[in-house]
Amino acid sequence: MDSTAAGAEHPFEYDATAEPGPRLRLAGRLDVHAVERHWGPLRRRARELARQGAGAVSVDLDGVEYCDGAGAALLHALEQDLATGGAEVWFEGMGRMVREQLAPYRELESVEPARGVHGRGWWPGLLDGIDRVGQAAHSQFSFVGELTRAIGSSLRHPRQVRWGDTLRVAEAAGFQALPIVSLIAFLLGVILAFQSAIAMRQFGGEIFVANLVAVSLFRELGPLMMAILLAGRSGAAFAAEIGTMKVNEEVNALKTMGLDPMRFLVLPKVLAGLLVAPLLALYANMIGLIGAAVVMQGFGIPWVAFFNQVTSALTLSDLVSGLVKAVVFGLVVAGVGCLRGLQTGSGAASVGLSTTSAVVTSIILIVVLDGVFAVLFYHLGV
Amino acid sequence: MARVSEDADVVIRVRGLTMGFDDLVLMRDLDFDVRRGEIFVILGGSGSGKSTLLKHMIGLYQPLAGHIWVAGADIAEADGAQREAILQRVGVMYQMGALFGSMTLLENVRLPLEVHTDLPREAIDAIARARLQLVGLGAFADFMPSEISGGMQKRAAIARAMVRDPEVLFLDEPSAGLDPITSADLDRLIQRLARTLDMTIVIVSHELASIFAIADRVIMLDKESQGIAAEGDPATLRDTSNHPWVQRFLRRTDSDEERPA
Repeated sequence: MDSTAAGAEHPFEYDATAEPGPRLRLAGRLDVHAVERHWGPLRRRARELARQGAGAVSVDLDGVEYCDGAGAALLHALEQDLATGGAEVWFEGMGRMVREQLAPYRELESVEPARGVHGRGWWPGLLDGIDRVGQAAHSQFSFVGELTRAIGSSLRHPRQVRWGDTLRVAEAAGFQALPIVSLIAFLLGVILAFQSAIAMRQFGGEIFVANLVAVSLFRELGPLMMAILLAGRSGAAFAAEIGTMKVNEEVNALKTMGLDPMRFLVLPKVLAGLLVAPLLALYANMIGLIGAAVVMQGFGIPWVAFFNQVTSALTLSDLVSGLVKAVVFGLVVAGVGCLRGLQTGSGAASVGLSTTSAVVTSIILIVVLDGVFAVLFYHLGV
Repeated sequence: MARVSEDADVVIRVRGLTMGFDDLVLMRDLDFDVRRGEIFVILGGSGSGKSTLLKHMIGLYQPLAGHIWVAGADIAEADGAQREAILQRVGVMYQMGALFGSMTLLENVRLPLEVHTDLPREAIDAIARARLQLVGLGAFADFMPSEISGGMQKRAAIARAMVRDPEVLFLDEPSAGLDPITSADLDRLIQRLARTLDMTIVIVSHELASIFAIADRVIMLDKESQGIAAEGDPATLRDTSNHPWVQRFLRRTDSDEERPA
């Protein structure tokens, strides 16, 4: 006989006898602690009894003082073990508490799940997958269409744009991003200059580091780094904000009040993105040049010489092509952030998914578009 | 840690509790007891601090002054391990259900057992399914919370709160927003838990029909006086209290205005 010390005067105990008839006697507190210990042994004993018993096994519950949900689970499992062993089960001395606890377990025997819990096979799964891809493409195309219409209408009717919101978002996405953009751009300038200066020194051409850094920053790295930072800071924030509003049904509230979420939520963010992206890129370029200039001091190139070289190296097309890219990147980052926010399902987890997806999609699109621009500018001779 | 030992029947003892946030005091000097096995209802108007009081009783908020003994231990003074031990003995259903959206109902209900017991998985599954069946959701075990209605989410949250047969079950507005039939089913369930499983149930509510049906005792928090306006059995309070606010609350009449003939 075994027992538990579950803090009661009468800990759980049981015994099983085969004579005169097969009989299982349980007594004491049939609680979670007792069940933790006896789940396996008691059920094995019950199956043995079922094998021995000719027909019926009686289970004596007269001594059970307390029975919780776990206790009822054990009783129900015993009942089923005995039944599958071919024995008929007789419960004796079942109190009200045991009966109440056991009731839902017995009801469940006849409950059909409201939905199939098993997989539906690969074919319907594949069709579902294709359907989802189609729906995603549809929602992305319709988002792009609606956004284009909204931007067009905002150009025709600038008064309808929520400029207050736009400026607020621009401040958060632009001005408040200056410290991190400064840090990254400065370090980028420092690293670029340092790495290239070491190589250039072998040929006595340290001064041409200015050309290299200026052109690569203005045409390529400034807009690219800015866009990635914008995606991580603001694209994610847009997705999380709109996603949480979606989860809280605030987006539905807007719709039912006759306010277009596109105009109310998306447009201010996209306009802010369009506005701050070229400014941030320009700022990143400047700070990057300063970083490079600082390094070049160490290689004996004075400030004036460095910046003279920069101005002679840069053309207007370097500047413009970089800024055009920045504008497009800003549009993509803000648009994708808002799209992913609006696509949020329900629950906290889906907001997290939207945010992740906003950043990942933005970065992929930025890199792909950067490649497209490279080819385009080459063919245009820019 | 201070302990109470005078009355074995008292599960929760509150003495001199002043609660609020920084400068804002909601209630002063509350004294009341919750007895074993009773259905105890905290009543009060919106913003009177009912839910805040409940959160003090489960140790989420720290009182400005006073003591709250839950199952013999002062939860306001308990350290991490002691608080953990107290919380092992209570179950809480939050106002909005607070089901974890990334888990099915079954996984939600199973979670407390998985974390706190050494039961085999088969047993945990059986218990969780039975608890869902007890609240009428046996068929919906594999649904996500987002796929069921608000009322069903509340019932699932109750199943999760009571899956470990706690000594005290705290329910924050269990029947708010439910239809009358579901609400009556829930009342019956609460009574069943208290009467047959010996659970002590503390409910924050302002659903009068439900309170008259199930409450053994109520306390009524009055925002004006920052204290308990009345305490006792709801029907007796309605019939005998001469506190005007209590009368207005329980009879839902507006004694300040002439009623149209």
